[in-house]
Amino acid sequence: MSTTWKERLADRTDPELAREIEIFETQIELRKRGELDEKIFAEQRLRRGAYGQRYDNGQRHDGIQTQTIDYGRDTTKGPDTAFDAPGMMRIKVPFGGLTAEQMDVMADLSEEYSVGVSHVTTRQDIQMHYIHIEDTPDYMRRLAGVGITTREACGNSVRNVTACPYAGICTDETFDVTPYANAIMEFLLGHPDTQDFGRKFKIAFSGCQHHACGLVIMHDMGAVAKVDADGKRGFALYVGGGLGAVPHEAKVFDPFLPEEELLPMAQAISRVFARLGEKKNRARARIKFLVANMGIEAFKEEVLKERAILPHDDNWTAYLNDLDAHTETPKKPAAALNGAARPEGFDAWQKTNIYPQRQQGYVAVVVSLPLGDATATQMRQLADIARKYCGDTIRATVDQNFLFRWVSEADVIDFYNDLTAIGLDAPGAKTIVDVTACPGTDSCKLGISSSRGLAAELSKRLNEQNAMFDEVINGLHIKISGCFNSCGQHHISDIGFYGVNRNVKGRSVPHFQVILGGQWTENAKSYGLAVAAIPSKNIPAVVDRVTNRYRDDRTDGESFQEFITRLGKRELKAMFEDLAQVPDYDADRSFYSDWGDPREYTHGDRGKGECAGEVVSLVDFTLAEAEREAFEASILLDEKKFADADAMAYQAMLSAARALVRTQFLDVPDNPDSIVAEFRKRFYDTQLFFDRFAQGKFAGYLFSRHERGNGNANPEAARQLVEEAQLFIEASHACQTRMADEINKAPA
Amino acid sequence: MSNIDDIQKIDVKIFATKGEDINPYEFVPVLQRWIQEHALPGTLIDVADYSHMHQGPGVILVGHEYNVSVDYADGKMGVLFHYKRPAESTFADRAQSAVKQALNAAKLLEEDTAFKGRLAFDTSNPQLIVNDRTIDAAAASDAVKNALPGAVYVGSDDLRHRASFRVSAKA
Repeated sequence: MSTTWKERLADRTDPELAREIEIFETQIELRKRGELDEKIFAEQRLRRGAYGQRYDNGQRHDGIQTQTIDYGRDTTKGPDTAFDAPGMMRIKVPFGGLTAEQMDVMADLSEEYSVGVSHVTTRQDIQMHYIHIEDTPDYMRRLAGVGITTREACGNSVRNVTACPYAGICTDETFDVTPYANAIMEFLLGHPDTQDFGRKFKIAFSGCQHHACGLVIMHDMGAVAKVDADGKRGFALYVGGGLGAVPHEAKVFDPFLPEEELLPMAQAISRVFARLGEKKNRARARIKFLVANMGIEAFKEEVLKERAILPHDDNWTAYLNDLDAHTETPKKPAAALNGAARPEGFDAWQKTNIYPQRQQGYVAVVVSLPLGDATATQMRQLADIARKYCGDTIRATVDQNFLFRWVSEADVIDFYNDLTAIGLDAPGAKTIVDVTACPGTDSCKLGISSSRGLAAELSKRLNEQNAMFDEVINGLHIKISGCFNSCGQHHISDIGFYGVNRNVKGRSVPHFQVILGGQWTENAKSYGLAVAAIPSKNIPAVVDRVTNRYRDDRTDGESFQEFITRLGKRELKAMFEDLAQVPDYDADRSFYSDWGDPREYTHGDRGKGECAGEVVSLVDFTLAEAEREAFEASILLDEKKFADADAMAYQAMLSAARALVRTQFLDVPDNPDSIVAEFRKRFYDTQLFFDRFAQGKFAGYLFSRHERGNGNANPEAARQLVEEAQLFIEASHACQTRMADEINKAPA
Repeated sequence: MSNIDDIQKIDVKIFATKGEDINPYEFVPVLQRWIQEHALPGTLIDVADYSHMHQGPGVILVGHEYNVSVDYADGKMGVLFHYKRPAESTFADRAQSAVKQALNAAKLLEEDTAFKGRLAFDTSNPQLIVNDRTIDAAAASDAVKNALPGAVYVGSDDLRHRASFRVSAKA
């Protein structure tokens, strides 16, 4: 007989994670009944990693005409987003760290709910596509059973915390940043001070300044490991970086922040971002704009003021007593590679895919994934390989590959043979053939051109040219985004592209804007130069031309960035001028469709993106929570669980009261006595909560219940309280509306 | 506890006997055309190309109620029918429907003018996979054999894999 996943995993799931998922399941139910606003639901699901996908607005151009997609129900899961349309789930993998068991579970999930593919993203996440929203609670439960949460993977929240995948084994690092990345992830996850952002917030860690691995300079907040003259640990803290349509380099917030200040400072920065960050104009709501507008010094001053008044939290430093908790133990003893026979292809692969660790006798192995994808079978096979050679030391990388650490040198040939057996022995990791691309028009609502189609084509051609063995160009990075939003990180690559559309004699033609000379190293130090928009089908020729020109014309020791800067925009544009021409439609129709998609290209399939989430004020969010609790109370009442119904209805009123109190007093302690006292002082005594007709009557429901206390719930009292809770919540909504109206009326 | 009729996700694969040499990308425009022409019942959404993957899901026609794909799992090419959305039906009805629809899709593909005799399928012995791990192999086995007499369990010793059967089907 079968059991539900909730039953099966009850004993092995963290109760808090389990509760979170139940809450979301209730929200899905409320949305289906039309009892939860679609915008609030959209933000709720985004904050659980449940994203929309292309065509979820019910429209798709089939190459001839736009067809309406009938998903069945009229219900939506967000503005212009059909409830039943397939969506994407983003799984956060903090610092990219994965276990073999987690990979097994991901394999299962991809088979049962998706299309059998796990995709590694440019932020060390795993994504799966074509998932129905009703499957997501069980999907989340099964991940929770192996210690993974999808919470805050998307939406206006702190996204996945990334870190250099070589942390702990790198020959150059100052110290292992893994425990710090983990600590900040745990601390900020669901933190009250990170729930009111106007936009997403991305954090990265690097163990050193010079290599690319952490990409700190392009992040909202970044930390580079440092030690001071006394050997004390700290970080160079950066803030205000970001790619997107308009890239900004992060500014130095503090050249040396002691390690014990990392978490409180992150909290203070979050508070300032929540308080002062733009919320109406989504295009300017990232922290990079706030820092640019204020200037770093004024921003820092504001943050330090906030830091000074933060209530103390033991969690700021508790983890520092246990930094070794993330230390990995090798599975097998270190031993040198002996004279074993090397299979065909091994030498080329070894050159590019092996990284000698600082720990003698061990290497890290890069498993190159084609377009960042692994099948369910491959995920299981890779899990088995990890179990065989190195244990739970796997990291997802921003190059969309997997890194297996702590592999004994003696095992490298066997490791390679095992990869060959599963079709994952491709060489060329981190070389020019290892092209990175975002999902683009394959599945993203914002995609303009086919980033994955182009990536596949370029990778194929460069492999055919043996470009990975070309000493001049093999170290160049190619990154492709489907649109200007930079999910493919095109700004920081040597050769970057982002999708654009051009109208040619009345027809849409897919193009890519060419970006050259970005700096990947020094933690993504600087951004490339936009040169020209070229038809998608001519981009391979662009790559050939610029790499050949670099090979032929570079001066001694001149880097690609220096070369591009020396040539300058005018010369570069001239280099590609002929490639910018689009043949007439009848002369060559291939230009009028994109790589990997035979349909005649259209710009019309773009939808409203969800990267920006929905801006829902903190009070609206919390009132929605109160509604959900009131709904649960009514369910408990139906189930004749009167004491539980009474307690839940009371909780719902406390949540609503707290939502209002926090508009004036952010740090109100989360206990009934404090909430009720503050509510009475700020909203009842001032009559702010009073309704024109009912006056303070509904507030009285909360006070009575608070005075009554628990343990006295009879069926009649419980029934009455459930109704009173709903009235109290309605009155809270009305109060919030009145307050918002007053703010809007006030002179600017 | 849920019962067998709650099991909604079923895969059926019809194996190819000819056509392994066809470039998988050739299936993309064909499946795109099926969307234009509403060639299969139900709501058809998009075509997803995963032909770059080793023994992977190949090229998928993504639908609302089901997906149909040219699949290469375990190195064996075939048409895969993948039921995904629940419907009011017994497990037996659903399993039989999955077999029927898989056979229909394979026939349609084989007869498509794009392939002109280059493609053929063994319709006598499809593979059925119970794509739901809440049910154990024994219960799945009983249910499949009731729905499709003559079904033979061909599952793997690796308990991570789903319950898999070879069933008899008349073309």
